[in-house]
Formats: sequence, C-alpha cells, structure tokens
Amino acid sequence: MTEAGSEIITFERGWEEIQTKAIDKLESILDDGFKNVKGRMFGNEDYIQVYTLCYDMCTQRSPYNHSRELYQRHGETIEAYLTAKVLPALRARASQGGTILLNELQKRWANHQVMNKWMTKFFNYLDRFYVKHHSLQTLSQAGLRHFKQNIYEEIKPEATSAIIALIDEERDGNMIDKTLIKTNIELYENIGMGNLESYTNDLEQPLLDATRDYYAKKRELWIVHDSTPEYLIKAEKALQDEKDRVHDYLNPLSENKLLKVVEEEVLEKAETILLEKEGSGCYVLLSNDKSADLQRMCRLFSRLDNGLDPIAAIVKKFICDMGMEIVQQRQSRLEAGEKDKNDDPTFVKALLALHEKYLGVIKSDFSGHSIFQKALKDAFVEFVNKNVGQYKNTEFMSTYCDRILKSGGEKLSEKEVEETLEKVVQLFSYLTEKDVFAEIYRNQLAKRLLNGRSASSDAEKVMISKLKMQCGTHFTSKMEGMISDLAVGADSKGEFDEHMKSTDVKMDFSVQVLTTGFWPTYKSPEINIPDQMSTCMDIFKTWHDQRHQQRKLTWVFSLGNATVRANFGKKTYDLNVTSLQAIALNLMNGGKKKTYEELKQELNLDDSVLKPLMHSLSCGKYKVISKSPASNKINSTDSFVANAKFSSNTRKIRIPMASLDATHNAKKVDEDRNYAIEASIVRTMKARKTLKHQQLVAEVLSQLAFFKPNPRAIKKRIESLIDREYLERSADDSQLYNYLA
Amino acid sequence: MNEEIDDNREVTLISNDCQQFNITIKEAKISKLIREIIEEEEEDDDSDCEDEVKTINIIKVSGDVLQYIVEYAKNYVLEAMDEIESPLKSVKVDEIVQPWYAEFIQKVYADGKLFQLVTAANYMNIQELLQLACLKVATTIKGKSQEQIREIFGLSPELTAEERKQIEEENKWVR
Repeated sequence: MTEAGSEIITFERGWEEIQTKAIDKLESILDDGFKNVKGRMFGNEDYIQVYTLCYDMCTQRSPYNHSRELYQRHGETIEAYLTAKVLPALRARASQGGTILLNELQKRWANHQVMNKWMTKFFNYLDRFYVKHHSLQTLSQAGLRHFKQNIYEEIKPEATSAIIALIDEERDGNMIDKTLIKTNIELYENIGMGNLESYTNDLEQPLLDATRDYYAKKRELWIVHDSTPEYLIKAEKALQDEKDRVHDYLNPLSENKLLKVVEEEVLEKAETILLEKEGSGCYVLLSNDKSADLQRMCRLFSRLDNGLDPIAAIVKKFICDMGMEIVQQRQSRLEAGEKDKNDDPTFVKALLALHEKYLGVIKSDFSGHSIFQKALKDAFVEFVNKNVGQYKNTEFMSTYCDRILKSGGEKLSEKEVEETLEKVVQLFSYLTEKDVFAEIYRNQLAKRLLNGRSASSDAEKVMISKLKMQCGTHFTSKMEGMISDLAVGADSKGEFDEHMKSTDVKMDFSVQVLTTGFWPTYKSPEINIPDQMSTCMDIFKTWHDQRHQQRKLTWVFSLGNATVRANFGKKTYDLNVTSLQAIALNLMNGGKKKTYEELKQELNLDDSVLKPLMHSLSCGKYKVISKSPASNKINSTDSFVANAKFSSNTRKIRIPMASLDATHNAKKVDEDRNYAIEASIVRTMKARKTLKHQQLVAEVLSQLAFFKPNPRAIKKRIESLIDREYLERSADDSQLYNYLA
Repeated sequence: MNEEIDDNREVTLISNDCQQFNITIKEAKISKLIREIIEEEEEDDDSDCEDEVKTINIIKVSGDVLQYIVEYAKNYVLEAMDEIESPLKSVKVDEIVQPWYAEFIQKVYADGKLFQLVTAANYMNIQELLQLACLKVATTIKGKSQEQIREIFGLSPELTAEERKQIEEENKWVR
C-alpha cells in the first residue's frame, strides 16, 4: 500500500530517526526529572512525524515491512532502560533505608508509566494490526510486563519489608507518609494487569503475617496490664485503626482478612481470660451494671463465630445466681419463722423486677441477641421452678394476678394493670408446671367472678388472651367458658327479673347459671332450705326448664350471696353474707338459743361445713351471734344465740366466711396429667405403629407443653395402656411397643 | 476524557499539499490519531495554554482526500453512521448505512479516490470511515472477475508468481 512516489525506508534509517526524535528525548526527560519540560513533552509536529514513520515502516510491502522488528525494539528499549537505569538506582537506595527505597520506587514507577504511555503512542500503529493479527500482548501490557519482570520481581522483598515496617510504625502511633505507601501499594495492585495475584502473594500475605505477630505481642502485653474493659477499648481501637488503614491505602479486599487476623489474635485467643478476669470479668461487669463495657464486649465478641456463647453462659449463670438469691431470701424468711402465705407479693415482685431489669440489659447492652434471650430464659426456668416452703411458685404467681385483678387489691391504673400482667405472663412462660398454674388461676378467677370481686372484666379478658397467646386455645378454653357464662347470665337476668315481677314473691332473687366443666368443682352440702328461698328456687327452675329442656340444674349454695336485714336493739343492719350464712341466721332469728348439735340436725350439715360457718358468725370481726362458752374455736358442745348487744358504726356489714374448698385440687391436676400423657402416647403410637420405649418417652415429653412429667409417670401410663390393650409389648423385644388398633 | 462535551474550538488540518481545513475539535476527534494529539494536550490543561494545538499536519493525506474526510467528519457529528454489521445484511450500500453515507461513498468512488480514502482512513485511524470505504470496495467487486476488478480500480496487470506468494505470506491471517 505504499503510495507512489514515496521512497522505501530501511529499518536502520527509520529506527535511527525514532531513536533520536522520540526515545532519546523521552529518556533524557525522565532522567532529568522533567526539569526542562514546559507543557507538552512532545509537540504535535514531533509526535505526528514519529507516528507517521512507524506507520510507514509497518505498511511497506515485504521485505520492507518492519512491524516485527519494531515490536521487538519497543520491548527491548523499555527493558534496556529499566535494567540499565532504574534497577541500579533502586538497588542503591535499598541499602539506605525503607522510606528512601519507597520514594525512589514511587518515582521510578511514575516514570515508567509516562514512558509506557509515550512508547504506546509512538508505536500505536503496531497495536492496531500487528499485535492483533499475531495475538501478542498490547504495547502497554508488554511495557508493564517488562517492569514487572525486571524491576518488581527484583525489588519486591525489600519494598514489602519497607512497607510493613512503615505500617508497624503507624500502628505504634507515629506519623508516616501515607501517600507514599498508597502509591507503592497501587504498584502491587496494578502490576498484576487485572488480577490481584501479585498484591495478594507479595504484599498482603506478608502483611497479614506481620500483623499477626504484631498483635500477638500486644495481646500478651495488654492481657497482663489491663483490666478487661481497658483491654477491650484497646482492641476496639485496633480494629477501627486497621479498618481505617485499609481505607487509607490498602486494597478493599484486604479488609476482612486483616480484621480477621486482628480478631483472632486480640479477641479469640484472649476471650476466656478476658471474660473470667478477676475483678473485671464479665460476671463482675454484670453485677456492677457496667453497661458501656458490656455493650463493647458484646459488640466485639459478636465478630467471632460463636464468640457470644461463653458470654451467654456467664450471663445465664449470673441471672441464675441472682434468681437463686431471691429464692434463698424467701427460704431464710421462712426459716426465721415468718408465716408462709400464698398471697405475699414480695417474692413475685422480686422476680418480676429481676426479669424486667435483665430483659432491659439484654435489649440494650446485648442488642437483644437471641442467644442472650435464651440465656435469660434458661436461667429463669431454672430458679422459677425452685419451690421452697408450703406453696409452689406457680401459686404465688397466680395469686399475684388475683391481687392485681381483684377489686381492692393493688391500686394500679388500667395501663399498669396490663403491663404488670404482661410481665407476669412472661414469668409464667418459664414455669414447667403450667397446668398447675391454670388450675389455681381458674379457681381464683371463679372466686373473683362469682363474688363480684373482679375489678375489670376487660382486664380479665386481656389476661386470658395473653395466656392463650402463650399456650393456645386449649389452655384457656375453660376460663373463656367461665367469662361467657357470666355474660349469658347478665343477659338472662333481666328476663328473669321481669318474670319474677309477674309472680307474687316480693324478693330480690337472681341466679347465675354455671356450665359444669368450665368451673371448678365445689362442695355443695345438701342443706335444709328455708321456704322463702325454696319458693324462689322453684320459680327459677320452672322458668329455666322451659327455656332449656335438656339441661339439669344443680344448686351450689356455698357460692351464693344474700343480704339479710337484721335488727339488733333499735338499730337495723344489712348483713352481706353467703347463702349458707343466711340460712343459719334465718334459723337463729327471734333470739332462740340453739346447741351445736341442734343446728347440725336442723341444717343437715356436717362438721366440715358447720364449723367454719358458725365460726364466721360468732368469732369473726362482726360477732352477730354469740357463742357460749366464748372462745375462738367452735366445739360441738357450744351453744349459740343471736347477739342482742351487737352494734356497729356502719349499717352495711360484710361478713366473710372461710372458703370450703382449697385453692386448687392437686388430685385433679394429677388426673388431668394422666389423661394428657395417655392421649399423647396413643396419638404417637397410632402414627408410628411400633416404637422403642426411649423414643416413645422422648416423643411424649416433647409433645407435652404445660408440664414435665417424669419418665416413670410415663412408664406407668404405658403399662396402664398395655393393661387396657391399647398397646402391647413386642414378642421379640421387650423394649418395643406395638399399637393395637 | 471529555468526549461528551461539545468542543467547538477550531483546529486547522493541513494536507501534504498544504491545503488547510478548519474543523472543530469535536469533529476532528473522530480520528483517533488526532484525538491522541489533542487529548495529550488536555491532560496538561493546567500548564500554559499557549501550547494549545492550532494546526496539525496530516503528512500522509492529500488535500482532495482530506476534503472528503472533513466532509465525513462534519456530517458524522450531526448524524452518527449506523454500525456496519458483519456479516453484511445486504449487498447494497444504501441498505446498510444512511442515504447520506451511501451517496458520500458513491461520490468518492466516482471520483476515483476510494483507494486513497481507505489508506487515509487507516492512517488517521477513523474506524467507521475505514469500514464504510471497505464496504464500498466489497460491494463493488462482488461477483466480478479478476480482470474486471483490475479495470474498475485501474490496477497494474497480473502479479508475478513471486509477488503472489509474498502477498499470501503477508496475509496469512486472512484465511
């Protein structure tokens, strides 16, 4: 493609011109340090001449096409300059100290980039065809490769040591030339021509090793001299410093590796010692509420895999100790002779306060991490189920709820009630014997509802729904049934009142119908009833039977209330009493004297009912009946008469009577448990058909949510089921059970 | 660099027969050769501006061809030429590029400057023009005999065996 008229350029002549016009000038500029350069290194005239020369030499027909030789000379020129000038200069500096070497390397690297750029520009035409057609490295790549082979590979050990030495100096708090480090590190990054292999192998790995050494020494120093919080402050600073360092001059990909090394050396290898350090370890920080230190501890150790586990173990131990202390305090009070009462709120309040405090600590200091929530739970499960004294902790909790929910208990606002209930339910969730709680709670709820002592039906519903959330509908179905009985009762009361008006009985009379099963079972003595009452009862029964023909009414007198108008001397009082008391008072009406035995016969009551009944009337605060001989105990030889001298400042008097029933029926709980265990066994066996004893027990244990039976109890149930032919033992293996359909 | 910015400063291109052509820098930059020269200057923007490139000698290109190149460049910045897809979707130039370009290259061909334009585009490193010119060559020789092609382009008679071998050697990569 030679144009007509232009003469052939020989390689020697062409090269000489390139050498003088371009290369010699370029090299002398570099050698002089750009002293004589103003503005452009090469004017466009010079440049276009050199470019054109190369163009011509590359486009002449063979044998005058000089592409191959030019490409070769391009490389040789760069190599020659590097080996003759650059390397000796660097070698000379290497012995003068790290910073001097790095400065020289920085300069030489910058120079090389200028040289490479211009060499690429001059020989540009080669890149376009020769390089492409022969699949060679581009001029710029080749130039970089020459630097890598001739300079980088030669000088990298010294350069790397120099960089690391500077970094260590900076770690010790000295000011260093960050730009110098940065430019040198860029050399490591760029020399790989697109991959970071050189950077990783030649700089990063040695740096990581050096970092490990550095911080291993620091660790040994700090761990001796510093308290745990002081140590952790230093550790946190070290991590931040290294992060900044990466940002300042390292490749971003090094961040995780570098931080991991520091974490391993400073945190992981020291964790046990730090956490257990005498006087400033984790336990001590917890007992002194060192919030900031704990936060830092959590923050730092959360960086390690499983780094929080040992902390969580200490947290659990700590909370457990605190809780056990509360249990111990109660025990000491009892041992000191204090009377054990189930309605003492001190114990539950202490537990609630402890729970609230550490729930907060875990949320704020341990960022609510689930592992600490579990520690809290495990700790509470451990001591909340430690029962001392006569009453179980479940009973304390239920009674505490009763206190809150009943009118005249704790004076709390609606919001406080709900908050307190929420806290109690959290505590409740740690109980293993949830079924016992349910039983006690149901009894207390029944009492509140029937005696009209429930402060707020909304609060009752809130509490039940909280329990339902925790344990499911099955757990609260009876309680809900009780509430709805009352609601139905309130509705039908109006209708019955209308009905009463249409009869000629002039008496306030109302009946609350309870569904059997929802409510606790109550003692219902077959007492002889005065006529006025039985008339009313008959009216109700007739009315009720008309409406609900399939239902059978049973009367529970022990739960009823009555107001009895009584005259003592000139004064009239309204006595608010239970139905039983009212019946007894009715008998005593008119000032007749009756012996205990007479009363027993006329009322048709046995001692277990009559004694507390008469006690409430003659030995309580309001002695409306006088007893002879006077004493605080009822004997079967006593005799009674209305107290003519009775007087009180208030006109309305409530005379309480001791409950005939225990707070809950332990036997009933046991029965319910047996049913639950058997149901679970049968359910499991029906699904699996055959199962080993151990697996069956494990499966049953995992299914039962409201209590934890011991394996022996389960074994007993299994045996009972075998007796009743739900299951059989396998003929071959006595440990294996088969399900019998 | 500042490729997106319209650079309306002017630069004078001088052909090897001393004809001058004024052209904006934006237009001139479709030549990568000129771009190399101008961008070098832009890198040194902070140094004194006296150094600004005012004229560029296009040593290897004659005025009549440079005229065509300037014409091409001025149009190119107004309406960039469609990319010429390979393989060609048609044998007709006007079905491959916009009408302006098809007419333009036809004009160059009729003027007998097509070969010179190929060389100049190659020298000045204008890929799109080089492709257009080569496209024209390709569509012109398609289906023609050696003799016809030689006649069309006014080439010298048959190559000697030696020359033929030489060319094959040089252009191995073509196969």
